[in-house]
Amino acid sequence: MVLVCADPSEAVAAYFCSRLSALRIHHRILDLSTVPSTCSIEWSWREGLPSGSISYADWTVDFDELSGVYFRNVWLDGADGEGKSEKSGCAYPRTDPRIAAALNSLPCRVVNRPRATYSNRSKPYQALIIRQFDFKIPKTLITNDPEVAKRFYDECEGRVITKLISGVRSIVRRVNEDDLGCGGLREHGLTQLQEYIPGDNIRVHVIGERVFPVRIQSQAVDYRYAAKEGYARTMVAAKLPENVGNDCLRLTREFGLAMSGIDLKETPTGKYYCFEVNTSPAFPFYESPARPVVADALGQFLAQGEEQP
Amino acid sequence: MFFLLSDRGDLLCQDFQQALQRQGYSTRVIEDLFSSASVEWRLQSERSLALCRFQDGETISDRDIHGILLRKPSFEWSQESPAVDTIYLRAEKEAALLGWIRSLNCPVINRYPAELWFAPIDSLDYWRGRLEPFGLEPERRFLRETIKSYRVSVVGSKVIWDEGAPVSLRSVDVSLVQFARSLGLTYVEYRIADSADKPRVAAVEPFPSYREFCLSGRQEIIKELMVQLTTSENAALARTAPDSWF
Repeated sequence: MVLVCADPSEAVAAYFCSRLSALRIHHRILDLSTVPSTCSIEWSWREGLPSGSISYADWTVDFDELSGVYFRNVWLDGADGEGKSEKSGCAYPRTDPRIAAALNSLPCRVVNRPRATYSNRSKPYQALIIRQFDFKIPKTLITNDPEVAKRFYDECEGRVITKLISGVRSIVRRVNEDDLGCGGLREHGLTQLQEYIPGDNIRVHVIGERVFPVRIQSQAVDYRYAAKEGYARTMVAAKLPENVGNDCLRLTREFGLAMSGIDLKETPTGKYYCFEVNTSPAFPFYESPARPVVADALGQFLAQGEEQP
Repeated sequence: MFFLLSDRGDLLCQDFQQALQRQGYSTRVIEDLFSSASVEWRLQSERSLALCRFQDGETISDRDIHGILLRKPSFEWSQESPAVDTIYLRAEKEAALLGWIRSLNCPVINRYPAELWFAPIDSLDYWRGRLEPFGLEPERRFLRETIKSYRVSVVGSKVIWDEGAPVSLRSVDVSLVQFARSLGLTYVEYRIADSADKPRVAAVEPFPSYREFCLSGRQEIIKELMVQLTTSENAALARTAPDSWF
């Protein structure tokens, strides 16, 4: 049995649950939007392994019955999610510590264990780990000084983008000279700038030992919002050089993840830059519902139920 | 130069600064790095370099920093700031500070992995399943408030109990050190409950409170922190500590 710990009205979780149903994979949904009042977890540690059960609404599942768990704890996009940060006083949704502890310890496959999901709340933290592999990372400046920002802009001959430092969702955008005023690039004056890297974006989903690369071609700086910028976007299945694919697998393991969504860019000269490792990737964006390769691979991965070492 | 990233009123920060200064080290207490200095942190594939230009005119490169004591940053904001701005700005500062700390070559107490920076670690529930492989057991919830517990700090491989702790609790010393190492932390505080059958963990504090220790305990903690942060042998150890336990 697969346990889905997520808000079932959130788009990615809803899509994944629909694929589990289509694949006839038996699953239960633990709706994180109603936790903690609706959920109880009883467990103990016996002979080096956790033993117990999770109860929610009208069902109870023993740990032994689980082949895999899908965990996704994000704010809802759009109107339903608005104001949640303000109400909670946090930039991110809180994870119930009881659920986190259980998912961190379960002997079955978990995509992903909560403890492994925090690294992409700091992009420079991730970048420092990414650069230990064979990937390049873009020349980056983090500053609160407009003069320093201007100097970096000039050094990069104006080919500069800005993105948030944290894991809060934001649009990556090109910087122009008007942005570099005395008030800084953002109201608080703390800004991350990066040299713009030309080339094709490649999104790589890693599930276990499998790699699913997609090449995205668009003139937009942030291809996710290409239409808003008035640009077209094409996405096609890609093939990675063996060493790049292997580095994606190693990087995923390094972050303690069973599944990742890695953002790469291949330059016209064949160099691979890595921007980020998404620890709770929104994979449906990258595939057609008519050909749900990643969703089905994930469902099968969790249904197989091999214990992790 | 040693950086103490902490509120000025924090007792650990005050005591540690005095100890450093007594031994002739220069120190700087920084409550909010990004509000008190112009920061220029450049990061690329081959190298990382940061410059901090403080309002008093001093400029310090990260190569000039010999060690850092890092307390949980509060990043206070003025009451006038809109709530949403405050939330996101704090997230930005926390993200930048976590990354910058990881980039440094000097010893840092503690060089936190992302998990301990962001996860709900204040709850004992969070640590269930993590303590047990080290032979430690979390206190059962319904007993926590009725059983007396004692503070204990692990600094490196040194275990420092608060006064009055029964000798019998020391049977978990080795486990406490090993667990702290598994987190990649140099300095961790615990509360250990004196349960009927065996000592149990009532709290894990990767951001140690320190203040509640007796005077002799605090003095011993400071002495060990000095060893960890100022001796070159331990500086190397601090740098190679695991950043995560994955």
